[in-house]
Amino acid sequence: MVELYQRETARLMEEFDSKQAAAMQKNNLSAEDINAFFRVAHTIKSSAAMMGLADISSCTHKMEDYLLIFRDDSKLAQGFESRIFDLMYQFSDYVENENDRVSQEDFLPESADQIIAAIQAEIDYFTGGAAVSGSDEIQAAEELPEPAVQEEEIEAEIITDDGGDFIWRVTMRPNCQMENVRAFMLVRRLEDLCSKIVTRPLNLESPDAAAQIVKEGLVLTLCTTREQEALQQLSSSPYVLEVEDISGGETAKKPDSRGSETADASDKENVQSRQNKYSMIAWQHIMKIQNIIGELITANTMLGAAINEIDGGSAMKNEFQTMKRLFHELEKIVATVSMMPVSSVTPQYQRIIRDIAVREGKQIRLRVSGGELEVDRNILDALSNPIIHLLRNAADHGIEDEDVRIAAGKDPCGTITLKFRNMADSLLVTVEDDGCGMDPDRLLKKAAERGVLTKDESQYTADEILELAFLPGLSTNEQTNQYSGRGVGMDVVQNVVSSLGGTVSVSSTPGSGSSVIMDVPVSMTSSECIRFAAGPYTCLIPIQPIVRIYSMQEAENNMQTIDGRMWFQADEMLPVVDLFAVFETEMAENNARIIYIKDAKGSAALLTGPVTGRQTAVEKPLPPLLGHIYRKNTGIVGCTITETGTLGIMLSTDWLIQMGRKGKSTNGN
Amino acid sequence: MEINADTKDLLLVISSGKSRYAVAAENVQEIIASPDITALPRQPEYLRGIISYKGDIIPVLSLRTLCGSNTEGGEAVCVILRTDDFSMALAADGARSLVNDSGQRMHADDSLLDGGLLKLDFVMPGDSAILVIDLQGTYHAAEKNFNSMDFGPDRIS
Repeated sequence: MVELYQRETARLMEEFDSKQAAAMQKNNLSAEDINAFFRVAHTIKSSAAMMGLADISSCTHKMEDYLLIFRDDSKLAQGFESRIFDLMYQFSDYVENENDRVSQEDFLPESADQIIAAIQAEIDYFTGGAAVSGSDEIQAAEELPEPAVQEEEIEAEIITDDGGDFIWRVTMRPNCQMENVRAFMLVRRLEDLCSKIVTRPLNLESPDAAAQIVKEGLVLTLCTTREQEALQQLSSSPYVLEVEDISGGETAKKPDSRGSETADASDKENVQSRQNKYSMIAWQHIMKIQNIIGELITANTMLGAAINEIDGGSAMKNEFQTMKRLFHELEKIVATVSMMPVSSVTPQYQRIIRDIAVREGKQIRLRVSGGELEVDRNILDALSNPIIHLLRNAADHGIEDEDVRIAAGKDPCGTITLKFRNMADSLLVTVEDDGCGMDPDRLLKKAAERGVLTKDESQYTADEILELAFLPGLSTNEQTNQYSGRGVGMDVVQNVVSSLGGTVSVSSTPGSGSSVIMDVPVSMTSSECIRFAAGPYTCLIPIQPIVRIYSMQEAENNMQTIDGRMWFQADEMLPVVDLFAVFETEMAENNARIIYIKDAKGSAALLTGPVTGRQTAVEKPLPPLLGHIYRKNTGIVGCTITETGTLGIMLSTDWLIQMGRKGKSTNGN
Repeated sequence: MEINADTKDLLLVISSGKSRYAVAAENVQEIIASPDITALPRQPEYLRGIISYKGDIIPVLSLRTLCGSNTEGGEAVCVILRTDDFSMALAADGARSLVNDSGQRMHADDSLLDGGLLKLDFVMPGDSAILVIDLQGTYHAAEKNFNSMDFGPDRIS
């Protein structure tokens, strides 16, 4: 029960934060925004009251009072947006902090007196101390969780009379418990789809409502033109057994009603629907399922190798192929479930920028693009701290003070842009600002002071100097503030991205701003790879970019040595990336191969040992102990279990292509 | 051998050559005999390689190299260790016994050892002292070492 309340409240507050971030971006509070905030506050108030959380209920009730000021005339908010956002942030901080703790065994509610006083002060500010129309006195804590009778006035907007287009009886699953809470949540989901909703029992917050729903079902009388979507919303609930049309229509059995109507919903609604369904599933369960599927695919790969060694095992081979296909279908489905829209995580970034702007007395706007993209939650979670760090750096140290910007002929309001883009199999996340840019002299000086330069200062190129920012202890941010002390520096940005198999690049122009691009693979699922040897090491690369594999005899005619370096003639002359040299191991004379790879980012010719097979590889990350310096110098992005049960190392094709490109530029061919 | 008993206040004694060290038993997940360790290219000497343990990939550190011992031997066992922050394994010659942890520890001077990466505490469970491996300290020393490895210029041929 607590878990259900906690998840639903978290989802509602996510909606609250998201709408606030959008309103901040346009610096305007519309009537629609106010209504949305009001609905969230109202729903949380009711569910908190049912849970006996008097402080949350009281403070959300007070927030309703506050929002009522602007509800009828949103123009009253004009010019006061910043003030209103400040209060709403205090409110969301309180509710979210309480919600985070509510499931803890030793949970003791934090008093809401302070936030209630803050809201009351703002109510007084806007009303001059006059009572707010339609507001009620705060319910005394000891009265909770009694139903709030006075709320019927608020409900009047959606509940008017019994005259509706559809009458449905919703039967809850046996023993699902808290039937009235679940009914309340269902009704809330339908609010946007119906002009009127009447429930029986009428008051779902009544202590007797649960028993009545168990006995008679939840009867909904709806006025709507979107009955199919409403039906789908109801049917998709895990707690609904059956939806029966008792106004003369057919009985919609839950499982059948789902698939046929999905296609009719708009894309936007599909996303929303998935978010709702997603919020009902505990994330850790999805993670476990993903891990198990990875293990299953690995075990299946090993099983395939064993079957291949059995004579006359063709029937088994067919079954094995079927299993392999089914595992991959399952993997794709779970991968889809674990996707979430980028926009679900961006409100927190607006908040961070706003807080820094207020604290530093700067004008900063954050522009976010690509919020509609859907990305694996693992990746979004992992990138959260690096993004926060980069945004904080941009706001704290990139964007100049207003007077400095004006003197430089810039817009007094600095702009930070957070861009999400999909590029083939990669997610590109860019954080750029139009601030002062990075100071290469300062970076070089700092690196020299810390003794981390590996060559003479004069030999560093502009790009190499900027890369110094990623070395441990060389973050330019030296001031402490409320976001410092997280232990996240530019080196950790590099480490996190590297651990995801991605790369980070930075560009900067003094006086004009900086841009950091994180390029990470979007899929953490399995891939088809070839397996080859490089000395004692078993290596794997994805099959996709491989153009051709040459034996040395075949390759000889296309190879030449210039200044001691091997070159291979493909579509163009490519320096050979000798993996034996990269790995500092001996090459067996007769078994070498040239693997020619090519993708959108470039091409490379790899000198390797013999190719030993192909397999479906589930990438496992390297242990964190092996930091980004190791990965950067070996091109190893992860490892996988091979068909024989041993570990193989997975190489980054991006890195190999990059190495080839470096070889090319240093030889000036 | 999986460690299932109540391991609080116990130390597992492991050996490298003639030397004895101990680790807090509550951090020990399992002791594996003759594990299949995969070596990695250009790994430092103190890293034996990586192993797959219950779906996770964990690094295996050589106790012998860490403590600067010159003795030859197989390092036939892997002690799988897990803390709140990290997992790793220590390759050792053997796992000897469990002893009570007296709880009174004294940090050992790094200069007493050649390896430098092995961080140790002294503990006196009885009449004699045992060197207890400070897992956090050792792991972070190895991590720092990894992140400051000098790979030299890029070599592709």
